[in-house]
Amino acid sequence: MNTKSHRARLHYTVDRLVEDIILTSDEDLIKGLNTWGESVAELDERAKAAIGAAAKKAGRERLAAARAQVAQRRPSNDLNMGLNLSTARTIYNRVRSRKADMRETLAARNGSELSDQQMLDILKDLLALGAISSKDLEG
Amino acid sequence: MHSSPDIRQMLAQFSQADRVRLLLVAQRFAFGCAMIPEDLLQEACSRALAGTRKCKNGLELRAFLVGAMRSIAFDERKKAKTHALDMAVAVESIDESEIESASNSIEYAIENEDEAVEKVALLRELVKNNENAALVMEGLLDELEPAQIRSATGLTQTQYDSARTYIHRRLTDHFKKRVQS
Repeated sequence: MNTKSHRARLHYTVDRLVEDIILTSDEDLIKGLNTWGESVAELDERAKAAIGAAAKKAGRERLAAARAQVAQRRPSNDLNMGLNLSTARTIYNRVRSRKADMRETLAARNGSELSDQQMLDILKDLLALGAISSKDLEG
Repeated sequence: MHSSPDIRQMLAQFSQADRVRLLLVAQRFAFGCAMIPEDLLQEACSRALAGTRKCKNGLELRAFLVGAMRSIAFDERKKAKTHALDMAVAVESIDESEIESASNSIEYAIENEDEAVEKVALLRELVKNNENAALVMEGLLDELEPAQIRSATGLTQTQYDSARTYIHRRLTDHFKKRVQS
């Protein structure tokens, strides 16, 4: 008499039945299902739906992780990074003079000056993107 | 290690036979847990897409997915069993919250065993109308190897193979009925 738990017996049985499926050739698998009157197309649709749902879920999770990472790196919008506006603009001008792409951006604005908020937002974005470091923000 | 987009591409390149095979495997593992086959397959794919496993090609990915489905289907039962054993040997050294937690685990293990009893009964029910299949199922549930089952039952190889085929037909049919209901 088998004194093992039903869980253990079920586990063993399921493993053996899975082995049968794994060891069957593609051709025999499809042929067998057709012989039983199973719709291979319908089974395939169900499998495709499960795989597709996993891909969508993974995409959403990657997006959420990327958003969380950016949010973590971006300083709070409520703060001016601990700088007064005068110091922030001095730093901004210093960073701008080092970065050719920023000079071009300013040129594209026909030389018009940025507002305080725009200037702070750019500094925050550069910090979040790692283009400047917190050391650059030291007056 | 492949990136998530690589795994996604490999999943997209699976043949119809690959996908159907994985669903049939999920249907068998679903007898070992409370999940439906489609959810088992989806969760296994999610683990692959999480990129925690090396898969060089589609064959390895299929093997990984089978292993992941098995792990998902059986892990909970294993955990509950371990907790129950811990409770039995260390009852004097744990505080009340641990006793409550372990007690819950024991209840969970009992529930799992009750669930397994039901699943075993269902397997027997599914094959009861085919005498040879019923014999083979009993042999499997007694954890016998194919040769031992044939020897014990006197089935020829052909009769044994037919019985196994009947078992699979009934299992697949069972999930078709579940989808339709």
